Amino acid sequence: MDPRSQLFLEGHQEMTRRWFLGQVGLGIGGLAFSSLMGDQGALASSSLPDLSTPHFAPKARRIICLHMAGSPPQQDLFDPKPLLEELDGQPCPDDFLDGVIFPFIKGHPKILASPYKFQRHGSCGMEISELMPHLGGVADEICLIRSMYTEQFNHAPAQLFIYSGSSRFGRPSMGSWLTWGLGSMNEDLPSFVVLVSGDKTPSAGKSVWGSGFLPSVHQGVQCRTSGDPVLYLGNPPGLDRDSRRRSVDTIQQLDRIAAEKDGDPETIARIKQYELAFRMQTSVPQVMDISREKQSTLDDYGAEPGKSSFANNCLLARRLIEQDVRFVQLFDWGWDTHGTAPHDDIITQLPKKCGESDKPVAALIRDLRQRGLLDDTLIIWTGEFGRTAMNEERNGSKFLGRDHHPHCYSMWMAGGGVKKGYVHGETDELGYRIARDPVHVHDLQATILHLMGIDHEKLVYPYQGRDFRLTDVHGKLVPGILA
Amino acid sequence: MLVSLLVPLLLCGTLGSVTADHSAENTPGFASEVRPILSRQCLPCHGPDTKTRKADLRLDRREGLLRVVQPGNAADSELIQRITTTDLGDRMPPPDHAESLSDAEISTLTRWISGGASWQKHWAFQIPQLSEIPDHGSSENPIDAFIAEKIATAGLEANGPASPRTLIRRVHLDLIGLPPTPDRVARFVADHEKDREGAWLQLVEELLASESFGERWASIWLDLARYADTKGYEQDGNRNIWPWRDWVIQAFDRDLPFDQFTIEQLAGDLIDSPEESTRLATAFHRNTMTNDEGGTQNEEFRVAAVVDRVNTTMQVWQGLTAGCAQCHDHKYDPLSQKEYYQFYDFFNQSADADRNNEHPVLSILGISDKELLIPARQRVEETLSVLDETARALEIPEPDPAELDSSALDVIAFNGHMPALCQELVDGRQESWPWVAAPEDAPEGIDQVIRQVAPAGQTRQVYFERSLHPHIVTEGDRYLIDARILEAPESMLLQVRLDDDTVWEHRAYWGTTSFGHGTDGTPSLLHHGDLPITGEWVRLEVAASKIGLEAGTTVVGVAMTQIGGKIEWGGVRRDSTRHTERDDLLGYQSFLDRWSENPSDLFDASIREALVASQDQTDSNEKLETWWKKTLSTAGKRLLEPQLQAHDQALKEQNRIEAKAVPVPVMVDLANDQARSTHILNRGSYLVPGDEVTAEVPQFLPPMDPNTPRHRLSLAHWLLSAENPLTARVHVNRVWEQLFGTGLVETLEDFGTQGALPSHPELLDWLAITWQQEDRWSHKALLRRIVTSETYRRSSRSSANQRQIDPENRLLSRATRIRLAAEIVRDQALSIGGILSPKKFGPPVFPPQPEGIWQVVYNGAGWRESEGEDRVRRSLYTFFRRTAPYPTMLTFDAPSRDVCQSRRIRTNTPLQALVMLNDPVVIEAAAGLARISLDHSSQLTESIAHAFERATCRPPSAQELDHLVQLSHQQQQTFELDPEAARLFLESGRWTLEEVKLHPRAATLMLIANVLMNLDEILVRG
Repeated sequence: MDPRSQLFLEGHQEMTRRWFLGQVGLGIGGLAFSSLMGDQGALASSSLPDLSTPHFAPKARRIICLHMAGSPPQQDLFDPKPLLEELDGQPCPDDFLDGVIFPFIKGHPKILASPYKFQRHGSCGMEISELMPHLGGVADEICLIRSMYTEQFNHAPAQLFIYSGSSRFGRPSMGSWLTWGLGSMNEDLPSFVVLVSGDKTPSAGKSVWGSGFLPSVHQGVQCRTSGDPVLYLGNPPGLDRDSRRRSVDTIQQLDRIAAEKDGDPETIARIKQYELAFRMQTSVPQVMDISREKQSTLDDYGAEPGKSSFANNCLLARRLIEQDVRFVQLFDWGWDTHGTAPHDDIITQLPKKCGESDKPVAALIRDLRQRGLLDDTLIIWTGEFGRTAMNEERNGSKFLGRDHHPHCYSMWMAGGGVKKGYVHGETDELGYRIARDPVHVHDLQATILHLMGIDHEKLVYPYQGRDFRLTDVHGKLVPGILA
Repeated sequence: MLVSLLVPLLLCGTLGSVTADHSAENTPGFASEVRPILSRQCLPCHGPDTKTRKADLRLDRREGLLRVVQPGNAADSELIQRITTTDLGDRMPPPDHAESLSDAEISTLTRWISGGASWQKHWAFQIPQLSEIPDHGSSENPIDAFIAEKIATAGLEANGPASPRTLIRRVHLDLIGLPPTPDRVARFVADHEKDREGAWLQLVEELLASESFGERWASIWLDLARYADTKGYEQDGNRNIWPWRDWVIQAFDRDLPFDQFTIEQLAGDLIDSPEESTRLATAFHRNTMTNDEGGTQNEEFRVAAVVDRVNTTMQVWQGLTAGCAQCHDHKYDPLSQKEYYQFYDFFNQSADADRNNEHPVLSILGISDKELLIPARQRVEETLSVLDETARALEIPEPDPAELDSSALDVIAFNGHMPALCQELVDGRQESWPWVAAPEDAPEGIDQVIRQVAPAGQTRQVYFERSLHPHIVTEGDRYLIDARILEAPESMLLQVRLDDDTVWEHRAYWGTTSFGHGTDGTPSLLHHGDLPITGEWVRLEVAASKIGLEAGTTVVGVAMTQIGGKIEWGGVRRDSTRHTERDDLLGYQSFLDRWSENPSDLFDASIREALVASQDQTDSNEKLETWWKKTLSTAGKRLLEPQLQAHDQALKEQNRIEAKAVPVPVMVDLANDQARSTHILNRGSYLVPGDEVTAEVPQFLPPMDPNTPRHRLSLAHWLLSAENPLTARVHVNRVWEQLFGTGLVETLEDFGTQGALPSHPELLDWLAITWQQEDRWSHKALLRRIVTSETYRRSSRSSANQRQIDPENRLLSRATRIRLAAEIVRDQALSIGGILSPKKFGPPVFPPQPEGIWQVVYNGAGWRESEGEDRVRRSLYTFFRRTAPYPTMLTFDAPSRDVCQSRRIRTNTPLQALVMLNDPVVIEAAAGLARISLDHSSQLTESIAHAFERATCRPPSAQELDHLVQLSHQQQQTFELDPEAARLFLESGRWTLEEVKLHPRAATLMLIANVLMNLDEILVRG
């Protein structure tokens, strides 16, 4: 058999079996090479080779990704530009408009100063907006990148671009790549968990945690804060746990009879999956139950049991990470501050969103640090693109806001292997273009994979006749931000 | 050396000799072993991509290889020298290439050159060849002979046939996606005993003709077509494209041959005399996504949709992945970027442009509505001919002079009399006959009334406007209104319309001033007293002068209006010294004599012509007279009332159905003078257009007739031409995968040089050719051919030897157990539970789904759970939202339908277990199965055995039954101790059982049913 086909088929079967199995650091990515180097038998056997050190020693073992869906304005939060104040209300320089298409801005837009003051924080002296005082308190843990850029300026394609490396649908998401490449560390919980707040799923829908062409076991599992935390986790009304245990036992007994008769290893796999499903029925509600936390911890995060909030999700992220869930992805809707009305401007809405998220994010960093988890957990905070230095003034709106801007934006990381209290890159005086050390989305992806011990050029999956990877055919490591 | 070799080599088409492949045992095959190495290791820099090609060397071509290969002489071949040298500067692949060659690969290349370096064009790009059917095995079906040959060669033994119970379940699930009923199983088992082959053939024919056949095969096509009920992207708004889904179901049901199926979907708008159905078929390529997100560039997403059409067409019909060439020349397959955009030009002329309204669209009625429309239209025809015939036979004498007595009150709209040709509007709707028979207690002379009901605070009115009979106001005129209040309104009004610019500003009212027009206290809204007493007939009077109707002005309309309440209106008359002459009270002859005195624009053009013609004719025009009787003559209309009513009802029903038509996006090409010019898009970006190109097919595939126009229809014909090497192979392979779990070419999605090689190339070609030539592209004929083979009917049990030699069962010495697709998993559960609705076609449905799945940004759409049988329809009717697909479908590996997907990756996860254990739909199905088995027997064990057999199509073994009975005993105890739990559990399956005593037993059986539906045997096709 063509070894690549064999990989395709057997890889799926094997990974299906291995989902939740708790093999630390299993690397199918690495496995792909061994298979192609002629070691075809490796996959056919039921024991996979130990690939606990896939490409390099990993700096981070888990990731918490905090996505501010809609995209916050960097000028008002992380990238102070005094010149904006001087030029506030004046038409922007003509060359801002050369060959540029804005989603909403029409005509010649005017410069918009930030209404917010910046303060220096920590021993590093990082400048952070007054809207995020709590984050200022942990500035010495932050690795801020002010020179991010992307290629997309609509929400759905830009979100897809960050999480799948392509602006089109159909590719696996970052969490799927990582769990496919590294396997799971907890046998009772999914490896890739998604938590959503702000009452909306992200613009690109569930594709941002989809598995694309990778086996669907690697898609993110959305844990919900109301109803069953995982879909269909709860038994039907009237059916207690003992009854469920007995019925699963019977299913397994009958499946064993079938396995003996037909000799299909898939039947054995199914017996195992039912056992895991049964275990998840208790393990997931336990990890999702924040009422088990101390009141002081709840207060630190601003979390309230029984509610659905970004603060609760931050606390849940820590609980999941504590259980060695590999990738926890948070989406928080409401950052799309165009300024068409108070509910999407930078005077009312932006402070509201910052107020909801500043305290829990800072608490998350401190909490992980205190528990010794920050060293090998990478926290990522980002939107999908930046916002313009100019006021959008859609249809003459009197509310202040900024249009989408792909050419530069700020994001930050903390923990697992990145520099602390460090600012990378720089934008020009008006924060319109990058002045120094540009970081493309693919570069960021390459660097995140690197921190997890993976060479982004080697985590490949053959599909439809070519090798696919998260970084497409691009991406360069950003050594400057590595600790 | 090179020069001397070239000439003969070019002639014979190989590097070495054609037979070199077979001349030496040890010589590796070019296609199977050598090309994959070259393709992976060399082509990235020495392949089709001109941008990355180094040293101008192309190793995907014979000519290029000859520059570095000396057939028969490995040592002197530069290729071998370069891959073995220790000089890192010369070494190939260069050290920075992601991989290096293994020793085994070097050895393969060396032996290949030593053995003569045979070369073949990639197998899939060559036209299929019929090879001799091997003389193997006893089966008459050639499929078995091809399969038997390889089994024998591998040293395997083929399994015997599966049991009849396994077989009937297998072929049911495969052909119609549903399990057989217990009765059908029993019948088949009995038939099978008498006549194995006959029973099988009969079963297969029955399934191919089944009403459920199309639904099963359509759901596979929907993945390829990336069908969804929403547009995708951020907004993900709803789209009406389900009539196309129904077209696909019907196409499979009626076995539309695949060539026609292809032509209609790719170019049903361009064929000679396109029909509604062929234009609807083109919605295939309107399943592309549309971006309604604010601030997007329509051109960007229009280009994305065209790109998707190119990639999908290449993928579905050619099994090729063209997508790479969007940005650069294909690295492995000989498809250049230029050729990509030439192909793109075929699809670049369609008029759609990422508009929010999805223009162009075609208004389409769903299939069941179309079916309803046939009798509705018949009814319209029938009622019309009854009406006409009755009218024709009707004798209407010239009027009794008494009826035209000038002393009578002038009828405006009264007692079923209406001015001829007036528009009778009830709340703005035109009604042919608003009158109903008056109650018996109505005053003398009133036997027709208009009954109007208005909700509190709302206005309802009956207008009579625009008639043949305007009247001139005379000094002292009074209007008389007969009416009876049944429930008191807030107010009632008479409104009068003049033909001058005061129009309706003439109103008299009774009751409160709550009307929204006019100025109270003036002629435009003048109080005429309190409301009359409820329940009594009254005659209200209004003096014309009081509401501003001066003598000499012309009245063209009246309205009877009410706010709230319930009123029977007898109508309006005028008490005047001057009468209006009324054509409707005249006889036919009088009307003919006098019609020209009326404003002629009130008559339809055809009637006017007939009237004009009648002046010159002495013969009576029967048609015209019939029209007069049913349209003009009050006497006629009153006599024809039942027929008029019947016809009106029929028309309304027809309109009601026709109004259900939905706008379906379809393909329509731009007019020639608006044709787009197509450019190569650099890096695939619509912002960076390069050279202009025009429609053409790629060079590595057979050429298109130079004389045919370059449009989608020609493209469809080209795909289906006998010379196209891929179309038939790709589809045959797709069908094979459905029936055997793995394609003959395992990579369904890639027949290119990177794809897998066919396990049985001769069989694939034989199937492809016979399907085209003998079966005439018939999908059902292809299925019949395959499922009647012995290979299809083998048992799936595997021996250690089989698992050892052929773990993936590529040689098919046994049947492969296949995990069921998402749709079948759910449909089967509903079917076993006896609750699956057989309803076909129509708008998508919303079966129960957990709260909170739909939270789409900027899209307020909610999941409104369907009621009745729509809750339990087959899964392909479930509403498919791209950004939030039905969770059970996703969990069972259905794609999100954003782009074309040829193959579903089947997984086996705990999340699937949770669905089958706890999803309310599955629980409801379990309740259904429990109910059936409870009805079957009063003995618990027998009930369990019955449920088992219904679920699996076979009786349980003693051991299996024992496990289930044991569980049932324990569980029944639990439920007896806690009857409330039993009741709750039953309710969760929507089962309300009157007899409380039965609750524990019923709930226990429900849990047993739940267990059965979770068995591996159920979730797999054995």
